Amino acid sequence: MAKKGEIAATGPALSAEATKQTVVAALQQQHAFIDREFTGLMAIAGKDTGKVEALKRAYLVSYDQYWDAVARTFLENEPRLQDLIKMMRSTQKRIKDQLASVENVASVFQLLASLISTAASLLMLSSM
Amino acid sequence: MSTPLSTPRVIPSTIVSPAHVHRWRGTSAARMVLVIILGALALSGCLARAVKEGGSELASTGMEASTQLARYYDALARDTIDSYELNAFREGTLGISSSDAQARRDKTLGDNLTALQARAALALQLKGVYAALGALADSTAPAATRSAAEGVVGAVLTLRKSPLADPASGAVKSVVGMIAEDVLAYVQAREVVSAAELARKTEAALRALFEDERETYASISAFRAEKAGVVVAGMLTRNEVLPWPLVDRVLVPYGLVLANAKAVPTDAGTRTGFEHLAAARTRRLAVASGEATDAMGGTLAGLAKAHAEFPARSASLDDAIAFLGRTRAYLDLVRTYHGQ
Repeated sequence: MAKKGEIAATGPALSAEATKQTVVAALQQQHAFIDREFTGLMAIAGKDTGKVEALKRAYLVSYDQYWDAVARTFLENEPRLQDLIKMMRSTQKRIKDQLASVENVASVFQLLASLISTAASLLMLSSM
Repeated sequence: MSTPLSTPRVIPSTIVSPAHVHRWRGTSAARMVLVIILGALALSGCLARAVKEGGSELASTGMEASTQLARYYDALARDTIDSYELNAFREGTLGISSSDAQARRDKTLGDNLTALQARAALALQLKGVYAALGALADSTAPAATRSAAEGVVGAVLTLRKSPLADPASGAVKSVVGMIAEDVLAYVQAREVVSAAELARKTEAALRALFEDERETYASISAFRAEKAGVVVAGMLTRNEVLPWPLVDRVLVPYGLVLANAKAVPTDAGTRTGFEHLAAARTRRLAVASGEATDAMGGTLAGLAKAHAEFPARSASLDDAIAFLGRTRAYLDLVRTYHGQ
């Protein structure tokens, strides 16, 4: 049971990846909220310069926090991306090699046919 | 000359000797084996053709899915640029300065665009994998082998000075050609199954990356939609834009024309109405962007299932094709929001 002041867990613990993703979505919603409500919040702040500055700062920080989180997600997956690029290249090459080997069989037969035909023609010419 | 019925016909021992019977039995057994082999080859040939067709269909669906995935990443890059520019405008209107952080912001924008472009390029590489699979499945090498094998047999028969008019030589050519075609069709089918497995692993790896980053993608589209909505709402409130085009399309079927399309609405209620309409469109844009992400995820998942069930033709491929249609439609819609 959660102690007073703690938030009780309501479901299974999220994986690190899921937590990161949830953070990104939360940061996007946080900036959207500040942006949407900015005019109203400024009106409430009135002439209190401290509050006005804090609000402007919240806007800027929430924007940067969100896009930094997006960049971090991409950066953390960069090694995976590089592995994927290598994987794609090697897979393409392997399948192309498979195609070449299948088509080689046909070309071997074609070569054989032309060689034997030539030999037959030569034999016929020599027997005339 | 007649032979009495009671007298059994004597077959000279020189004609039917034990060696002949043995040879006859041997020939008969060999024929049976040949028939079984030909039957098995014909059956494997049919199965091989089914695998080829399935592989070809899987490849074309995979290619289309990869194309849409690349388009999806391009749309996200467009969203990222729009968000950056719309935010600059918004900050200007709010009197907020971000000059201190501008260099860092520009770098972050560049990094994010590079990352999205790299993913789009990766999707196109996946398309290359499926194109290679399609080329393998659609290869006409077995048919070419058949005619080449027939050519070999024909040449051998000529070499042996067999009479070319002999009807048997034509039959032998056909049988050998058929065997060669079926054998190569079998080899090709085996290669298609193996290549499809390679493509499956590649698609699975890319799909895992997509799923891990999915919420980030959805948030980028949502960010752009929200930002555009706030900017438009602000311009409407400040009477900086003519809102009439928002309802133009609805008036056309009624044959109605605007009284003064070049004036901002003076009625406060009308202005509020347009603000609500713009907000509704913003929500629709956000939903469409979210649906594009879901449809793309569904396409990749359907493709993965179709791979798992290959070489059997499964309903999962139809699911993937249906999701592809939705993905294309949503991306077309998102494209109109980008003004493209």
